[in-house]
Amino acid sequence: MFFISKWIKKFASSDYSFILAGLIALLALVVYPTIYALQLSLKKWNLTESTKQEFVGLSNYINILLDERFINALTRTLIFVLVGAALSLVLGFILAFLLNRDFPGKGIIRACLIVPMIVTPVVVGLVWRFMYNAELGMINYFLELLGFEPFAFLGNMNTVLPAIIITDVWQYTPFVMLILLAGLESLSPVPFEAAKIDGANRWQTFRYLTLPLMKGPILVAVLFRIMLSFSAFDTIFVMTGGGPGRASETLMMYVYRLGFEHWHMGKASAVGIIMLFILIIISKSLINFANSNQ
Amino acid sequence: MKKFLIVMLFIMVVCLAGTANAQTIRVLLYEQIPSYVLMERLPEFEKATGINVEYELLAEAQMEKKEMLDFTAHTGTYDVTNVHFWYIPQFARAKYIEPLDEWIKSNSHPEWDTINDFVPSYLDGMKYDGKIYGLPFQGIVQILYYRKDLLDQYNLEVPKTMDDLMNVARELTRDLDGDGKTDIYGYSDRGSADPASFMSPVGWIFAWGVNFLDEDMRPQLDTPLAIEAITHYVTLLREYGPPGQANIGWAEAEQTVLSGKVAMHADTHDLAPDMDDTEISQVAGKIEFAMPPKQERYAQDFFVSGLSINADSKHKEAAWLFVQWATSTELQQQIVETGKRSDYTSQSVLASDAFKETVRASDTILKASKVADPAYFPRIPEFGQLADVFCSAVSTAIAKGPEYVSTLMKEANQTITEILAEAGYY
Repeated sequence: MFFISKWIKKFASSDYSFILAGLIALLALVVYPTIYALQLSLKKWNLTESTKQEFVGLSNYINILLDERFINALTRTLIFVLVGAALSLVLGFILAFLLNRDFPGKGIIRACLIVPMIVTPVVVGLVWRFMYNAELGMINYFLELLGFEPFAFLGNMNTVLPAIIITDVWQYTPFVMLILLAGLESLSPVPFEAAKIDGANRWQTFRYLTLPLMKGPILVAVLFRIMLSFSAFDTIFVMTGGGPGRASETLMMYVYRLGFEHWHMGKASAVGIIMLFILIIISKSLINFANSNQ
Repeated sequence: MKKFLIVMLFIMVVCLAGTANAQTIRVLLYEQIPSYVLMERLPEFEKATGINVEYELLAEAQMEKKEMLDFTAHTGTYDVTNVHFWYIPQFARAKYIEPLDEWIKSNSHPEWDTINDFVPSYLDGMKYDGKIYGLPFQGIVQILYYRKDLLDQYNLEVPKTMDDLMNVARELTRDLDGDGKTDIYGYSDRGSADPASFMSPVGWIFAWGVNFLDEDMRPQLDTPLAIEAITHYVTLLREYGPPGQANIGWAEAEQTVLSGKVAMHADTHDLAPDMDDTEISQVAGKIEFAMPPKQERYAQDFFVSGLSINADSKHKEAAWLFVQWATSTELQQQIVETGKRSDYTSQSVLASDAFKETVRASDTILKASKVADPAYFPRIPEFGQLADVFCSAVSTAIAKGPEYVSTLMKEANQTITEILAEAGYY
């Protein structure tokens, strides 16, 4: 007993005691659920028969990886995430450049640009669902003014994925913009002045100076943007529920259906772990790529 | 002063001792008008029985998840919960809810005994394996909503059969102002891929005489009649339904009628008050009601939800009194005078003058309640998966075209067979 109290006193007076609260939160909210999900993914458990939990090893994973529905959801998710991230990066950069200067009303404009990020995802989904509506929606209203026929974007299997990508880009580009803006604002003007003196044009400055210097912020922005996209659920659920058919069913939607409609907790956890794995691979590749050049 | 305090304390204790016998039960309901109306009348129950009722109102989806969690964790938090008829077999099988037959036989409160007055098919919806697991709290049947003004304008009869429906829908899909764009569509229904759309297409194949699962639990989607039924559904919605029908759920389908864009819609009868509500409806007073279309049988969107007693409840007797009271003819008779509900489960109330006077669609609802049949719905625990597969297939067919129905139904049938095989049915 004496040793324990001595150890506690030593711990309390050390630097580690300051992070204790954060560590406990991390363990409870992140580590424990992940381990639990991992354990659950090795079992077969239908929530409606709560007492029957069978250990089945890797069979959940094998079933999923061989399931066409999973492969389709994965493909769709990758398209959704990568196209969305690319569009956000380009748009985010443009917006960040435009805001990287002082002008009257800068604060207000920046605040307005952040709004999409702050609005509750469910509200975003509902509003966009109505905007896309063929009969009563705003988008079709403008299309008709321009002489086009109204079109049911969310009811067509070919256009539904691009439509939700656009909503996702609208929602999270501000996030990318903020990070890139912070990065741009932190750049020292010295190399840029030197480049100007050396006669570099705008594109050369951007390609050989700005981009390499911005590698850090770009990496962070893209990484987080991808994670946000990957876990996007509320918006898609409200806009299309995964439909028409399965045309907008992403991995997240699939997990929801498995877990809360089919009640296959084991299988849903397995898909969750696979998603975690994919994210780890994407993150590692991005980080390696960012660190490799130069 | 001290003496005074002691006397007060003594009186307080005596008073409280009287309430020590008062039980408290917890009731879980979902947010809808029938729940609010019930909660308004709680004081009457509390006065009559001395039982204290604590209630919780949640959005429907949340309520379902919460009751599921309470049941699976066996915490017995809620004594009474609202259970939809499609969950009854699953909960009954897992012994989450209490069978009520004994309670009905021996503990029936005389004034609230409604067991012989419930619409028989509503009570059937609450049964599993021959036993009753809940008392029907609300029963909702499918009726056809139609624009009387448009039918009169074009000299059309109210459609009775599925063929009639297709013909009238065709006639009512028109370009009214000659600008080359369709202004009014004939018919709209649930076409979205999410399971909330399940009832309508399932009720449609039922109309053709097909049950989703036969007696051996084999899905019947690949039979010629089922394919014919879904082809009809898909054609109707594609040709004469509003654009984007493949993504339209029940709320949007209702919206298309309220905004005046669609002339007919067959769905649950509880949308009737919305039709006349001038705040949300552009067609107030123009909508009339009829029996749903019939092929070999009437189409169904039948829904019944009941109150069940948690098998882990520690106050079952008090819970039973509440369940009886809340579903009693006596209470329903009081409520019908107010005209706040239309989904009563008591036959005498549905046939009463008060119902006729307070609910415009009363005749149709009464007639439809007599043909309502819970058998159209595959009430097995795996229905969520079946709904997922089926609705996805129907939605795809609406998006791609009726020529795909046959393939899609055969694929769906195959998938469902695999699901049920894995679940151990064969």
